[in-house]
Amino acid sequence: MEKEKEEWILSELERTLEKTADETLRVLIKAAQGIIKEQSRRIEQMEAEIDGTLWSPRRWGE
Amino acid sequence: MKTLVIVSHPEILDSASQQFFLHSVKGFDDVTVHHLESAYPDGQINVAEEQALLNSHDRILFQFPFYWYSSPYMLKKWQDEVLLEGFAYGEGRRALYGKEFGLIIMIGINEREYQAGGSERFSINELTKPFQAMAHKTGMTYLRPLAVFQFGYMDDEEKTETLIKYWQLLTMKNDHSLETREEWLINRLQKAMTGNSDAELTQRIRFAIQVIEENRQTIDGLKMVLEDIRRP
Repeated sequence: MEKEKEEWILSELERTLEKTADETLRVLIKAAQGIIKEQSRRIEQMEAEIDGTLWSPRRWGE
Repeated sequence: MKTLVIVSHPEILDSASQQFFLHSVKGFDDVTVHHLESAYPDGQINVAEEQALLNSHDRILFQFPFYWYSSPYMLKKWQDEVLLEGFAYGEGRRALYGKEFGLIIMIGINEREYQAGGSERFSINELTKPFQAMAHKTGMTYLRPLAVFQFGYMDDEEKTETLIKYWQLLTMKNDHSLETREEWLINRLQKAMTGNSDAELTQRIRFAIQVIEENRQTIDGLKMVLEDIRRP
């Protein structure tokens, strides 16, 4: 996910938190922020691995 | 999946941690909370009713404060009287076979003390062996326990994180992969939003769910690419 989109949705959720009094929903919104961050990290790691693998010297002969 | 939380605490109204966790699941329709000391103030357990409760749930959890490395008296009495030979183990029917079992333990001492070199010397996994043996003997799958250390010293963020773990132990399938946690969260968000008339809030939550689902598609796509390029 692009960094801007991630930051935007996280800040949207933060604004939602400020307006929500429902405790259950507040906890779930915080969990959503955590999951989105974790997904972004996972995507970045996988993309880095793909870049690294494609640029590996082992593949230069192909 | 239906979950039964069997709580044992002799003074539950005075316990901030018990109140915090139990209050949070009041709206959960897939969870039954059963406080033994309230159900049986005279200590006389109705064995048939308890066995029927066990039969009608898929995941059984014990929730209690850690007293002398074990449960309060009432929960031990419940085990002795309810988990009888011929019902829970032995020849013939094993009523709990195939169900899941887990522990939620409130502990007043710092986590670091529960290890070799710490003041309590033994880990929670070591000290809860009798419960693990019980699950094994009755044919239940033992879940990762939730040990809550020093609830009173937790800040709001730690309490929130612990509450999420608590809800997951109560309602999420026994798999902690990112994908399972995503599915669980989407499901809980949808449940929490049922009947909510705030259009703006609904829109934002819907959008967050959409982002989580799109990210999942991206992750699955990348996984396929990686498998492909790793192939010799």
